[in-house]
Amino acid sequence: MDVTGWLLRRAVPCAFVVTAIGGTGARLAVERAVRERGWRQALAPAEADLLVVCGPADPELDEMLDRVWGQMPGPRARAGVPSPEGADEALDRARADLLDTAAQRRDADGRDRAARERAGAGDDEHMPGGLAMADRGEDRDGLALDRLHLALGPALPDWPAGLSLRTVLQGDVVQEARVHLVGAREGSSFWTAPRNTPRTADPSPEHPRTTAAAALDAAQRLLFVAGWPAAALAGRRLRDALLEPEAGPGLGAELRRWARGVRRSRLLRWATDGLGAVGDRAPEELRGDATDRWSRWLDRIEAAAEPGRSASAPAPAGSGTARAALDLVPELVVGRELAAARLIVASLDPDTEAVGAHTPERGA
Amino acid sequence: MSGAAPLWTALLVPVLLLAFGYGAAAGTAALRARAAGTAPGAGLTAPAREAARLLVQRRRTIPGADTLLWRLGGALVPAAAVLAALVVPLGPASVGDLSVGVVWFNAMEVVVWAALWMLGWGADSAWGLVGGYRFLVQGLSYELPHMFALTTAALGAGSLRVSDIVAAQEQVWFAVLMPAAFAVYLVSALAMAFWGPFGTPVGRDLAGGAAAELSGVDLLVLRAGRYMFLAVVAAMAVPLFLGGGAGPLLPGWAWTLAKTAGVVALLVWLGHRLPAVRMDRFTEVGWVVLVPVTLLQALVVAVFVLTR
Amino acid sequence: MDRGHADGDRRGAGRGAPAGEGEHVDSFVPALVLAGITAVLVTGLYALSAAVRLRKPPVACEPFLSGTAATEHAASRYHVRWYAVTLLFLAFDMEMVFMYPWVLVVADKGVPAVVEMFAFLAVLVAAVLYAWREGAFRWT
Repeated sequence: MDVTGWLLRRAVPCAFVVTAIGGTGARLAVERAVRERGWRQALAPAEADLLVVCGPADPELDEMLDRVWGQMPGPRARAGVPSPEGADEALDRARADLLDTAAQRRDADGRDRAARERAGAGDDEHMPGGLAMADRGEDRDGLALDRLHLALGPALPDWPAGLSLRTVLQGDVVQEARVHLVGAREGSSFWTAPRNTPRTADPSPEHPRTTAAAALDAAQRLLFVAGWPAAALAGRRLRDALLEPEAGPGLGAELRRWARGVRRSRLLRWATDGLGAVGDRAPEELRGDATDRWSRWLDRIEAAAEPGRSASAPAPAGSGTARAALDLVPELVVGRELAAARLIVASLDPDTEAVGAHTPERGA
Repeated sequence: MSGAAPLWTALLVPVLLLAFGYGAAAGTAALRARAAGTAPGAGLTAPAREAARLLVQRRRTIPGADTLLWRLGGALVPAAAVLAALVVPLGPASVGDLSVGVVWFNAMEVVVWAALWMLGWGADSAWGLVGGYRFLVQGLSYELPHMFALTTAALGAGSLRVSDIVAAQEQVWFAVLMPAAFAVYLVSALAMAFWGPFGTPVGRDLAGGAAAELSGVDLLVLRAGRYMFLAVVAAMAVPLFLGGGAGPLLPGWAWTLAKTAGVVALLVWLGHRLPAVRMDRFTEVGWVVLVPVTLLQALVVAVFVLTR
Repeated sequence: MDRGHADGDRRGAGRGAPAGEGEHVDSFVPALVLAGITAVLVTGLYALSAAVRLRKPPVACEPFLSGTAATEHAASRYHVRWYAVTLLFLAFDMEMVFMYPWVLVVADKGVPAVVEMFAFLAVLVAAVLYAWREGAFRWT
């Protein structure tokens, strides 16, 4: 009896989802499909068995995806989802690949053979992996300390599409940060572009349901980063419901209940208060600290939940706001520890699809 | 009321811990499924299906990883959980009713500090390194209030033997007599099992932190160990604060199991309702609020012991 | 071996005869048994996985860095900014060494035991408050 295949068929897949610039629509479709199937989303390639890529292909991103692919232990399958329509089909196909035990064994043997050949070629490595030890540099107090280079993104869960924040860490404090965007830059933001997906009937980006869905998308990402998966998952469910052509009955009440629950969380406030404070020169969307920013998202969500409310809600962040947010990231994260840096980025939530050909300023 | 149970009951310990740990994992999965709008019933089989997936998944090595530390770190978590359960009585008797039972439990629980740091350091990954050290500062923040809470329960009974502590609660449960110590114990229970709001050492913002590079059976052992650990700290709350096996009608062991299930359910619910606690903010609270609170609680109990 | 142990027993309500020195040695046998059972369980799980997993040898992988290549080993001297907290913790940890046996004698020694212990703790708490004022618990 093939126990391996039997176990594999019972396993629930765990997907590592990477979003390219221009892939927000595909990501929403994938997240929805993964949620409805009861699959899990991986935090890192080590625990994943599916690599799901949302959005258009790009040479630089592809190289990174190949690296992530190589970090997945296997059994493994890869699904490309360039547009929202193909999400379900691509996931079905990837699942079938995953269950093909014979092909998975061939893949595993191929990797082991390649690894043996590389080892046999014998580049005489002084250090394991051919890597050097960490170098030292001065910290803010003038101490010479080891420095680690850690890139946040682009292949990172709950992270803006295509953003790669190249950081230098001492301990877990970000000493230097530089913004780099990976991927194609033409096209426009998913949230401001006219809808072309069959799921949404309303083409107007100013419609309160669209702005609320955009705010919910940002909020669920922040909630995941803040370590509150239950609230984040509920946020995703409500976001998907808002993007349906017809709102179901009771959606408004449910949105209000969810927003109230998040707003009342003292622990969440405590985690985000005082983080990434931005002055009055910045666009209105970004002002204040992280708590102020997510509170404004909740306002937008609650506005959409009001019955009979006219379409007077503010439009989602435009390209000016997105560029400002991107430019603010390096100076705000330097000197913060990793947990705070991730919350700051999630609260600024730069829409990398809206920045166009804008080149981010060199980092701090 | 006798202290030590026959030796064969040692076999029951991992079985019960696994059962309660599975319950906690399934409960979490069911609550998540409900939040995600899918059938909560699927949550009941979710841990088993995840275990099947991880059994089939291949293991990984990383060039430059300290394999011994890395693998040992993962295996130490379930080992610490099972060994801590040595002094937890099921009904009237525990597997080993040590005269220093409370200290033994404390010592086993601190093994997890070493385990997580070894996991994080051994993997040779920046995420792991940050995650491992995060747990150390978490330990420095919760451990003192936790130890004072344990000591206060021991003080109420005038003994470090767990069965004596249970016996001392014949009139009134320690959860009533020393509510602050009980509350602090519950907070530290979440913290030492690095679970729920205190899960940042293996947190999402670190791509899995100390567990970021684990796959297959290595990850399965860590996850199972963590839920077993959650189960054992919940189980220890019963003899320390909830009167052990005391209760009407049912036999002692049934009450112990029922109360343990209640504490596990409470912890799971807290984990569902609360976002993560940032350790650079919690440390201050742990030292400046929780330490004085638990000490005052200990003082009150000491005065109570003197006047009794 | 452990004099305080007899004290603890005496107070144990409803316990049988006070345990002798012999039981003290015996009582760690269950611990060894439990350690053995855990070792068997974990090894068994590894063996089971070895039998059913896709391929037995582990895959050699690069560490995960969000898709970028590693430039150095992560194992490095970590900047422990909460170093001051570790020292404070050590002070209290030594204190716990006194507090555990103290628990056993409070009822016997009466008021002096409580006064002495809490005077000692008050000194330590004063140190904590001083360290707090100096910002030892904030490092970002």
